[in-house]
Amino acid sequence: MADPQAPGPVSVQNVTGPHSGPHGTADPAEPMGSEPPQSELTASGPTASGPTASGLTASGADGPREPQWRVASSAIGLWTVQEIIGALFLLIPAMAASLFVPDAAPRWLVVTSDILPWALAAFFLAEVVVLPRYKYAVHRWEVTPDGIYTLTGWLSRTWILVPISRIQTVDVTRGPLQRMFGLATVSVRTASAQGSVEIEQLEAYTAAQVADDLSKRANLYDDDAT
Amino acid sequence: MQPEPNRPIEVDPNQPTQGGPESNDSTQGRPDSGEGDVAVAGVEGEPGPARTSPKVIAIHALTIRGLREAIPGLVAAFAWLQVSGGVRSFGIVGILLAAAAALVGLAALSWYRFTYQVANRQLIISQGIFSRRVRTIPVDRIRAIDSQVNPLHRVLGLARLKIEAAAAGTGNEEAEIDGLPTETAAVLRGDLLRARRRPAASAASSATGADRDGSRTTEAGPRPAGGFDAHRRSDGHPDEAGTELLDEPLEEVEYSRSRLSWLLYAPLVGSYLAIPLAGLVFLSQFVDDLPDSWFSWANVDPSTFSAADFVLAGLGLVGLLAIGAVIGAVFLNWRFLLVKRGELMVSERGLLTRRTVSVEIPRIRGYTLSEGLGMRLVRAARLTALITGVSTANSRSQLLPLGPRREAVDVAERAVRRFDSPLRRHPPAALRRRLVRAVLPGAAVLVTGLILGVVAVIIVGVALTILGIPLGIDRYRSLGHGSDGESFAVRSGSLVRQTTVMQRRAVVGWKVQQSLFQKRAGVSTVTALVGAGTGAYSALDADSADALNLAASNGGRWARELRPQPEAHR
Repeated sequence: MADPQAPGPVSVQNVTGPHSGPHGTADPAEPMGSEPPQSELTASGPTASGPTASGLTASGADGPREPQWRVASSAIGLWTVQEIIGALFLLIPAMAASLFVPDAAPRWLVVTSDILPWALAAFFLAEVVVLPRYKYAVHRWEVTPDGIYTLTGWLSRTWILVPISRIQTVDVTRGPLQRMFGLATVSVRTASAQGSVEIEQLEAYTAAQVADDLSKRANLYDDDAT
Repeated sequence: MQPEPNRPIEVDPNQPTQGGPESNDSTQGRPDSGEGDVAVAGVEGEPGPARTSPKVIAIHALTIRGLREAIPGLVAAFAWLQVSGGVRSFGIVGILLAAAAALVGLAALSWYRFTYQVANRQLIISQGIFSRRVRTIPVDRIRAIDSQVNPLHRVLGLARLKIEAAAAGTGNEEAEIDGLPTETAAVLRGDLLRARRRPAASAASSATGADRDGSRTTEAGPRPAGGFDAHRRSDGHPDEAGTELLDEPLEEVEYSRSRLSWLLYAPLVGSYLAIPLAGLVFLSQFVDDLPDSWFSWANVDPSTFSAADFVLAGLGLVGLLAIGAVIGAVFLNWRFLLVKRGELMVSERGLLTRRTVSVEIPRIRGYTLSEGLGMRLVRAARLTALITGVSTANSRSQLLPLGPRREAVDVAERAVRRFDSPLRRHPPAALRRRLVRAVLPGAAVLVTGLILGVVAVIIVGVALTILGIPLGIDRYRSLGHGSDGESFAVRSGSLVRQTTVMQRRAVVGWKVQQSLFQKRAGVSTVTALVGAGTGAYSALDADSADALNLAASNGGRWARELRPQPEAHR
């Protein structure tokens, strides 16, 4: 599932570049009419946008605009594995429990215990197939000229915009699963106890580039970012 | 604009003597700072490590603190006693004397081992009898310094300084210098705060430009420090901070002085009512130890009470609680005083333990006006400041512990900033959502009761459901947000209605949340992330376009990404 097009030390443009999703061929031209580029990332950003922004996940009438870039496509694989693990944690006990229901139990209990594991299994199967793809379709992030902008959540959606001038620390973390998929998470913290932004499931190289770029630019601001 | 290598806070005790990387102010003449700051340390007249007043030995020996520190020593002493022939050979008096001597000795040792020093823009505190601990706090990282005078301290003319520094990870860890003579404490506090004042202030103003708040107008005017600054300028170090003359008169503006009548608000505030309750709980654990004869008056058969007796007892209890609350308020808030002294906001309060809290005005980013249900009945309020790096739970941020609402608004206006924009109501969908949320718990209880067929549960459910309606309506009426160009405000809450006014520059990020239901209703919750107070302040269920406008217009250029999309405008 890993995105094949991330070879070694190439320019950021190639890496942040098009993870061509289910729809949306990346359109490398057309920089958006914004401020002069302050970083390579911002300059190269729009390459990842293209039609995705107006696709099936367009934010509709009510939200702010969507961040332009998708997470790495291998995130689908990672999320699938995570969902399977989570599902097994519930399924196995349910199956085991259904084995131990004695035949002498009330009829409704026996019937339920026969059906329930299969119903659960069907539900989880659907979830494992659908959810990662849906998440991939709705999760977005972007480094804007002045900030870091994310959109997460699939039922209730959360947009977070943090200006680079107020960044306190930038961390890159990689869990064991993420390592298997070549992914990483960038965590951006601010002075606010509740003001941290996480961009999950970026390609490791992209994550390192983003973290580096953000912390460099954050350091250009000469105050204590409060 | 040169990048700092250490954005995460690092405290390195082994700094070279010349200005190390710990300082934020790359604009300053660095090489001079080592020299200049020795003067700051020169409270005792010399730059070396200084001790506190020896009188503090008495305090430490007399208080639990001393006992706690002495425990290892005492344990060792008793062990030795056991070995060398047992307790009896010394007699009880001898042991007590030895214990007292040990206490005093240990207190003296810990006093002897405690030194503090201000050097090289760092406050260095070393302490510890057996294991030595050296703590180095860069002056620039000091957020605030409180002075506390307990009754014993007052008798001896001493004070305790608590230094709150921004520490990485652990939140706010306090350093403490206990037992300074009152004047030394005041001078040291002023010096430390001033030493780091200029860099912080200049950074704040340079970062915010047009966002200057009204409360700093005096800085632009002729400052008492002007003459001294001019002197420094001739040395070629106009920005060298922290070396102002100690006896320089600082201009002082009184913002608020409490009146006795304000103490009467206390019974209407939950937290003050909790004081006598906590006292009762504390006392109740001793009841078992008291002789029964003390309670003979209480040996009355409750069944002989009439309804009137119960009512009287209830009223008496309420009255006692009210009196207890007032007494608690007297101890806590006695002669509350809020003044501005130079660039410091200084508040004093307390009857037995007098607390003096200094907060840097440039660190104030806004305020929260809290009105509980009971307080709203009598138009009382409490005012806290949003100070960067200081949580609201911290009593340091109080600008007015409890007073008339009018006074609170007035203090907010003068001490922080005037906010005069009407708050915008939230759409009717918000009312519906508040009502549903307020009624649902009661309804759940009611349904449970109906299913179980228990009458008591049904009655409780009905009561809760009915109570939920006014609660929901009131919660909706509390909702609001507004913006007057430089600041913006959000308001919410019914049991405690909180209006928070923040300067634009306080915002370190914006969060917009929208659930499926909210999307259908055309509302969003927009949250300002700030590096002060609770860290996040929300406008619940605001009209989506309004919410985005609030976010987009309160922040720098960066926030404009959140502008509502044109086609999205309703």
